[in-house]
Amino acid sequence: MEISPDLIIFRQWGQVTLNATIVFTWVIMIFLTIGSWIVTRKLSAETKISRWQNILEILVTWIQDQIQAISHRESYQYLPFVGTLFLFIAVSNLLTIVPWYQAPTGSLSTTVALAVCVFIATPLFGIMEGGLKGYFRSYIKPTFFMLPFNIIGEISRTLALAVRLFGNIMSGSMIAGILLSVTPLFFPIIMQALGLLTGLVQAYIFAVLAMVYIASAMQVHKGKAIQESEH
Amino acid sequence: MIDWFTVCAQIVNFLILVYLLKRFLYGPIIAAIDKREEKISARIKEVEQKHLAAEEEINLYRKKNEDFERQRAEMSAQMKEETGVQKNELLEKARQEIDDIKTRWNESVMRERDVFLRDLRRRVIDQVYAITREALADLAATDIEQHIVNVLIKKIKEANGEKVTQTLRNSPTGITIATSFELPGEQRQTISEAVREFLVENRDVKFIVSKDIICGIELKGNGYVIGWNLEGYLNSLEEDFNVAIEAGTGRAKC
Repeated sequence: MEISPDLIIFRQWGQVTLNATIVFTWVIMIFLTIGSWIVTRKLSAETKISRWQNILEILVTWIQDQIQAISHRESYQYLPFVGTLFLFIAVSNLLTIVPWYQAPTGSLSTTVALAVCVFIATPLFGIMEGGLKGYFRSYIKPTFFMLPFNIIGEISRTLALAVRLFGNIMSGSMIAGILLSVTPLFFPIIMQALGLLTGLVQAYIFAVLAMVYIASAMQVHKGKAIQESEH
Repeated sequence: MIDWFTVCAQIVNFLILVYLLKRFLYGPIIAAIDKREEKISARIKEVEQKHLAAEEEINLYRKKNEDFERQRAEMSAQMKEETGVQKNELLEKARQEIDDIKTRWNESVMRERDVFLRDLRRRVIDQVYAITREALADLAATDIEQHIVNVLIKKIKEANGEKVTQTLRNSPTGITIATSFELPGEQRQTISEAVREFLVENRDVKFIVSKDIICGIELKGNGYVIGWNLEGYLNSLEEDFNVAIEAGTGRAKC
């Protein structure tokens, strides 16, 4: 049993390796893209719509509502990033019921990659909202001495984000594997079902936390703008 | 544990997936939702406008209804007034017609009464004449004509006087004896002798039968008339009948 799908290598050209993580990520990308394309190529703006369009609309509006509830802002700007985080992680985790499938989120490389994306996106959105100076000024608040702590906090929460997802998904697979060897008949199924639930919850947690970080980065500027308007 | 090539590859994959989903999922879905919301908003706006238009129409029709009701009430009142006038006119006309009918009926009744009286008079004359004739014949074995002639002779005797004699002598048409019946020669002779003896000596006496005389005899000459007939009695009887009929008509009217 492999701990990480990174270790399942299909091809290798020097440093470039084609492992299960990348391959199954592509599978998920193709699945999501083609699925979306099939549904959205015949979209209807009328009140009577297809079942699949209805499902996608519910999904997208639900994500928008979550973003708006957290950020108190228009969601369209953050929807592609946060929505894709949720959909990718959720689909990645839900497909674990498919035999021989290896969830890319069970790879620390993937979760680190996603966490890095959040790590980069957070200041980017903050800078877009409040400008470069305004964003970086938030690191020396309330005093200059808080700068290292703020940087450490930024890095640690990114690390926590990556490790949390990896740990949960990897542990789910590990527990299923261990139980399969101990009680092969009944318990693995229950754990698999629990794994689906955990996978969805983890996708939600990852996306929500990403949005919270982005929102907090923008909140700094907003707070400043409020203070300025009060003066 | 961390394969940095895989990390980089996954970052790229994730960014590509963000683009693809934005292109094929979020964009079209949000565009469709926005379009539908626009359509629904437009439809709601249209419905509101139609609602406003409908309310205006309702108000218009309500006003029209009120106008119509007012006009109807006015027309009804006018019609009632006209009907009242017409009713009065018709009543007046009917009353007038009734009066006319009543007048005509009265006239008709009067005519019938006159006819009846004339008929009665004639019948009474015939009857009286016949009864008298029969009674006299039974009692004295004489006829009524003889009695009438006797009455005339009696009256001639009573009328004897210079003035009467003078009047009759100067009569241009002579002396005429008019009777309601044909006088026999003997009675003519008797009358002629009485006239010569008591009134005028040298005048001819002419005898005629006149339908104007009712059961009687008259001597006429130069406007002087003596005689007797039933007309007086009949007139009296007729007056009595008239009074009786008037009394009967009066009761019928009541």
